[in-house]
Amino acid sequence: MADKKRVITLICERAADVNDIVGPSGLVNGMPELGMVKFPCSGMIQPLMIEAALKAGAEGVIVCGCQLGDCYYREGNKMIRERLLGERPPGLKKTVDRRRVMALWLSRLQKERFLSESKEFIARLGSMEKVEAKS
Amino acid sequence: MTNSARSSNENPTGSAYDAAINELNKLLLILENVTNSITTSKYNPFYYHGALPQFYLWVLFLSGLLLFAYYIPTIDNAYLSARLVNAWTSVQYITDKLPFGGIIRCIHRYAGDAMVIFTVLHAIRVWFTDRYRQYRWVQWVTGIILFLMVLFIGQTGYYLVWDERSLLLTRMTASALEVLPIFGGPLKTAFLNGETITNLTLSNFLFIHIGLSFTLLFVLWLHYVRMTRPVITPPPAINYILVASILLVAFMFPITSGKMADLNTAPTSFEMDWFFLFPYAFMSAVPLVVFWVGGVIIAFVALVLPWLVRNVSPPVIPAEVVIDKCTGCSLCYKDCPYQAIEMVPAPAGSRFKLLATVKTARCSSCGICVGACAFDAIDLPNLTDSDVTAQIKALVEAK
Amino acid sequence: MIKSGKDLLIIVLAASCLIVSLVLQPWAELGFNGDFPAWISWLTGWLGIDKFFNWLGNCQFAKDIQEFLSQQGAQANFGEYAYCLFLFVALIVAAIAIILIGREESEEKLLLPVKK
Repeated sequence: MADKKRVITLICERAADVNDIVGPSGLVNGMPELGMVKFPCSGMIQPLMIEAALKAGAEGVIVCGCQLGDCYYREGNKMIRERLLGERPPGLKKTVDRRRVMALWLSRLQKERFLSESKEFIARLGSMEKVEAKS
Repeated sequence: MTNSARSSNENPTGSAYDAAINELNKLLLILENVTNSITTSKYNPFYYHGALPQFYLWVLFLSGLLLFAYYIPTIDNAYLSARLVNAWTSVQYITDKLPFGGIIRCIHRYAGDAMVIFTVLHAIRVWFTDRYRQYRWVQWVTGIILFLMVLFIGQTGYYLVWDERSLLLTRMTASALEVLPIFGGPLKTAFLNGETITNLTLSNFLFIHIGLSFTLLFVLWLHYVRMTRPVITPPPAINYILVASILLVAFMFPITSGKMADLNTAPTSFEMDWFFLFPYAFMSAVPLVVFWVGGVIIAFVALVLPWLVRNVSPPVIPAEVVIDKCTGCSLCYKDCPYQAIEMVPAPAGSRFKLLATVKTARCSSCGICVGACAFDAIDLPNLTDSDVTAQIKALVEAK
Repeated sequence: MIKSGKDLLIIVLAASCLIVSLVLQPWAELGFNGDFPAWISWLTGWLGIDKFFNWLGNCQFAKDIQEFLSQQGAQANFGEYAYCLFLFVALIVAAIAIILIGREESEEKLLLPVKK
């Protein structure tokens, strides 16, 4: 496995506008620990995809959709939110480490908020790793 | 990458129209962000824009019911006696004598105005955010029809008061209908419920006003029929503000009736209500032929707008069901926001009872059904499940 | 119970909503005075609401409202229009308080609950 751990962002292409900071390989420029997969709508994100990312060795997964209430396809972000919380089938498997999943609901203009939140998330995962390594 | 085809809609093809819509959409987003910072997304009225006129419709139904109880649709105005009973005096009675009658009348009038304002804002938002075309054309077309109906209902409301403005509006409408070819005469007769203005005219107006209002419910059903779980009720806090704003206007501008209509006089001007009566301003400014031709062209362009604009986003490529994986669990059917998935009996020999099928004309290719499927049995042709998993793997392993 | 300035603000808003709808609305509905024959005895007895209403009715405030309404063309029932104004205030205050309470439930970031 790669020595540098990575966080995968599953993002709606209408949510926080990250087009100008993502390189051709799907990694964020200047933040190689953050990778981006774009979807037409956050409602398309399937809990299995989150599990697949963690299984493949990702350190954490960020789900990013539009502001709640403003889905272009009406209900996508509400659907994935309920699926993550286990209120709507299909949900996440019980074995999935809930601490490694975060969801953000940000509008097109909130790129800065997205970057600061994901930096914080990556730092938190890093410190979690250290604690686990000690024990 | 499969993504590149889709992300092209953020870099529009470059026509001036696309650029303008993009800028206007950005402007809306800025406004919404400001509102979000005050109210948060939970109470952002922009996210309930369709529910706002719907709420005012309920206000109108309720206040209208109360007015209907005391309204008398006759035009007797011969000044025969001091105890004259006609439409105008019944409205006066409601306004001045009935406890809170004047308030109910104000609420009915201003809720109508507010409904027009919010309907227009609703249409503007779906236009600027590009949410009216392709798989949403039914909502747009029924929306335009609803708006025209609301305008006409509001205008008949102005006739019912039977002051001088009502008389003038009735005469203007009758003469405008008369010039129409072939069925102009019959339309005028139907409108006046006879050859001239009589008591029957006003009962006809009342019938149109109330009958058409209930017909709104039928067209609203068409407006909602392709949407799963339509948002038709704003949260209570917003409802309070909606009612309160009408009450403030009622306090600031109490309604006063004009003079009682007298068939022997010919009033020539009236106080303008720009929300409902703007077609009459147009009518008095240009010849009737121009009014009708212009009006029909404007309405027609509004109706076909979804097909006039084509190149803002790429064509929709509908989702596809992988038939041998589908278990008929109907999760995608429940979650589809456009009722584009239908559960049909599974083909003979299948282990399962049902099979999901996509109604391609309704599909928006949003992929919500993909997110709902735990068996990878439904896919967007240009971004399949295996594409996504491959992308995720590549990203995790990328150097 | 009161942990922040916001909690205090919510309580102030709730109290002002109650005062407006329990005092000002009935006062306006009765036509700016307390001469209402069917008062419950303890309201006029030790609360003296009728005297309070009459005193309010003689204030400049009541006169201003009536003058404004007649300028705007209202012909009768000034109290009912004033009732509208006070109901407006009560509803807006209630809505602000509800939004202040409810906005805590709104979210831009979701961390999944960890079950032990």
